[in-house]
Amino acid sequence: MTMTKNILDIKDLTINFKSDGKEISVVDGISFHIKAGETLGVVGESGCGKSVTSLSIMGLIPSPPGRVAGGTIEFEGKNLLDFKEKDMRKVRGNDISMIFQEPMTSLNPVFTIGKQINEVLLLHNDMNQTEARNRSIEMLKLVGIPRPEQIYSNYPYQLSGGMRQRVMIAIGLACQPKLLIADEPTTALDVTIQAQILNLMQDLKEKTDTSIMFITHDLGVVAEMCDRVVVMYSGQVVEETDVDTLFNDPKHPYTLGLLGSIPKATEKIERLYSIRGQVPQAGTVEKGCRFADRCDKVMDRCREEDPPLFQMKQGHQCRCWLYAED
Amino acid sequence: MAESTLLDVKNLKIYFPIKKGIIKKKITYVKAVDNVSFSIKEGETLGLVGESGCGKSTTGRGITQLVPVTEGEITFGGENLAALKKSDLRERRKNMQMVFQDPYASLNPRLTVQDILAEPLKAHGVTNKKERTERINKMLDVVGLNRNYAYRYAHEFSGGQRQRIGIARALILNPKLIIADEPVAALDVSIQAQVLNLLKDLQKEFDLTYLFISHDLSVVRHLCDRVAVMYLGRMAETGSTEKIFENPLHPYTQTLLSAIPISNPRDKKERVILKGDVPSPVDPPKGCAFVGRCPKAFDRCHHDRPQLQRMNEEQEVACHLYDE
Repeated sequence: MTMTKNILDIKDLTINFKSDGKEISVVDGISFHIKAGETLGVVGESGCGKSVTSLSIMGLIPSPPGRVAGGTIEFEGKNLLDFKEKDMRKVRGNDISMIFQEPMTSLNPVFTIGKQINEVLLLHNDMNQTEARNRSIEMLKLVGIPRPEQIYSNYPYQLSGGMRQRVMIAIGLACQPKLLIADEPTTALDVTIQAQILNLMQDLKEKTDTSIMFITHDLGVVAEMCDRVVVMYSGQVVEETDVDTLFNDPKHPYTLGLLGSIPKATEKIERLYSIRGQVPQAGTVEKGCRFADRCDKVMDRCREEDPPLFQMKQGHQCRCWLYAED
Repeated sequence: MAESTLLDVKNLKIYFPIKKGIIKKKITYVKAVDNVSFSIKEGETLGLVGESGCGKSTTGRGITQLVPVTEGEITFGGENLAALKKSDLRERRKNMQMVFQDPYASLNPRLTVQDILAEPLKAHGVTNKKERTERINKMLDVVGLNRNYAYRYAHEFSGGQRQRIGIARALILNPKLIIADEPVAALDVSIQAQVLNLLKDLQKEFDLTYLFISHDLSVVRHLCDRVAVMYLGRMAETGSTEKIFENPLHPYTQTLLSAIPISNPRDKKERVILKGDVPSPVDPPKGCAFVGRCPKAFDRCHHDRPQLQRMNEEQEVACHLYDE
């Protein structure tokens, strides 16, 4: 192992949801880790379990119908799943914080921007109102909001989407968390604003040394932001590797398909590769590889046995029978 | 490719009044589309790009007369749409259909797929039920959906399938022009590729002309022959896809292109980061709309509004940098 220690270590995490009396695994035994100061990208299409995974780290799985059915989530060596709600509250927003996709709906419309940043600060720190106000304005400045004193007393509706996302980032980083979970933070934004926000996150990461778990379906964003990547499909990790290998030597047919189906701005391709069919609903694949029905390289074995993760080279794993050594 | 012009938009203006007070006095206007001109040839795909609020969707709706046009001329197949009677306009609409962004919101949840597809046929006088069913079944084949799906409701389908239904609804009247407003923005990448390929195939099969409204430049590059870039209700630059992507002239187009995320971590690029947001279309800057964010703005840009000028055979740009 390398010298840097893991800030987050997830092992065999399984999350079940109850629907129509049956229990279905939406996340099925996933394992990955994030090192200190690292940005990990978690990539996958809707329904692959990436958002549920991030919610479980924060202890925010709605229960019932959901529950963590197995595995551990170790944060700095302690299993978060053993924490009581009271202790979890101290972690949330302080050690680990989260920014969501929709800056429109994740800010409270009836409180001023200032009040919403103060809330986190006052909850986790021994501060008085004036100190909190000063710190909030400092945070607004840090995330590049013009006229921070004025914006401090504005309401969310008075700001544009990009500005709201900056406010969300300010709230997320207010207590200098060790881990920031960003769930599709730029998906709802225009490209020019997305570029601003990504730049801002890069800068802040260098300044504060926060680890980032970056959840996205946009591989372009991954190429820009991440050090390592975990590709998820139907509740499982199908490939895990560093970002350079993901783009230049990907192994899993699903990863290859995803990369082939993105139109590129730099060249004109006549026809896009398209993965046929659609993501299976959670719990519908009974045996074999979950990608088998959509895979171009499917073999008999794929339909019978669920493939394990195969080790490719140092730090590169792939869940596909193509790479079995026998 | 046929060279005749199918759609010609000249000096299109769409203003929305802002009213205030008890007597609803009009105090000012939102200039959503402000003097926009472009044309599309038969069989061509024109990409209309820009950030949210730049007026690209309103332009699309203006063409089909779904929003009242304040000023300007829209010529479709040689006829001026504004001069037509209401009944004639209805008839012409058969030839231009829309595909919308949100496949979850644009299909009526209380209708079966069959009813959804039958509606345009009924509205345009296909009264024979047998004929309707036949055309619906054929259309389902064309967009790659199972014929049995005709009896299901919209909520039973995934996003990609719903968008196929939306496309089927637009195509069932054999239109000439399809106005597609962000048709793949809400879809996952693998599904997006399927729908883009479908749109390409359909264009070849039915000689369709597309006005493709999108904010995603990579998708536009893939699908479009020509591109028109809008900013704050005005046209910033138009040109062939190749020219726009290889040699963008307007500073806005340049920043827009540099903002696209890279497609491989090995090609890191220098990026022009724009400051600030798009200004409000209620009170746009006096000169060039882009002046407040432009890295190359100079004196003249603050009080003179630039007009589109032809730079070469394939490209027009509205920017003072290229004044004689």
